[in-house]
Amino acid sequence: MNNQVLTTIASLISLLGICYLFFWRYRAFELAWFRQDLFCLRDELFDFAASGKISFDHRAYGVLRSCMNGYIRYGDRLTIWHGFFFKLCAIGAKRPSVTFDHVWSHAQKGLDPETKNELDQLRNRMERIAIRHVLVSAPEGTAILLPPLFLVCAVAVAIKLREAWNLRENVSELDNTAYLFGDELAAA
Amino acid sequence: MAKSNAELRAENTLLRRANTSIGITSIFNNLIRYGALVLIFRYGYLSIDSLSGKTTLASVGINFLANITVSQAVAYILGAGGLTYGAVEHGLRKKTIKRFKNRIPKLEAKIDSGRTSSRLNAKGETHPRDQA
Repeated sequence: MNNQVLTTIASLISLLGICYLFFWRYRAFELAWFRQDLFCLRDELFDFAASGKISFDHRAYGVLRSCMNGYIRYGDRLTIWHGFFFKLCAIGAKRPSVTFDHVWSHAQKGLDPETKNELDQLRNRMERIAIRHVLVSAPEGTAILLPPLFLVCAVAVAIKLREAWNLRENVSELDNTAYLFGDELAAA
Repeated sequence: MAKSNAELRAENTLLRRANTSIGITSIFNNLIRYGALVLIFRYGYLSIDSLSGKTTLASVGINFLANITVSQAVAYILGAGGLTYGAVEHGLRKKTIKRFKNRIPKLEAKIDSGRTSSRLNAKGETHPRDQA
């Protein structure tokens, strides 16, 4: 009996350690990883401007940097749980007609195709980093939410209740929010 | 590009809703985290209770945790998790050093042209030619 109790206590101590690793250390690490990748990307954007390919005062440079700053500062609020509850809270809210895509294409006007292409690549990389972060920052959320979400979407598409789920649209919404927060920072 | 009143109002609504959702998520996250801790402490309490003879180890959860194989498996998972965490955290630190090592010397050299270097490698480790 005593051995059984001691084994139970040993199991509980190990579980406590796993909880600490998973809910505290892993999340802090993942956030640091996300920010580190974005810092590297922002450095690349800076070097790109420093090489003279685009001016530091150019709107496209400012817009992309603001968006990256928004992601870096508020990365801790970018888990799948945040996305889920944001979607619920934003039901019925009027979306701003000027989206990040809109601002981005406007800001890129007049740039030569090569510069435009390089900036687009930086934006795509930023989005890939953001998607990875959303999916892995709270793995329990991804495991719980994604399978039923895909199922519901698949059923909705099958019975033609809605159009196919558009990843691009959802990523743009992430960019919109990051840019809104990043833009606020620039204005502050 | 000046924003219209309606545009600013829509942005404001979205930011406020985002803040509400952040509050809800924060509460939810804390419920998951601390809920797990409460559950563990509850089982700890029950097992100590059974040690004093007040209750038995009849509970399904406690019986499961009292299994030596389960206990060892959980300990291995903790050990492997800890080691993996240490290794990846170390890798991230190296990556951060590498990022600074490339930029700081360039910027400092602009202010101090005679700036000397410790001559560590890009990851902040002893340079191979300096190794004993």
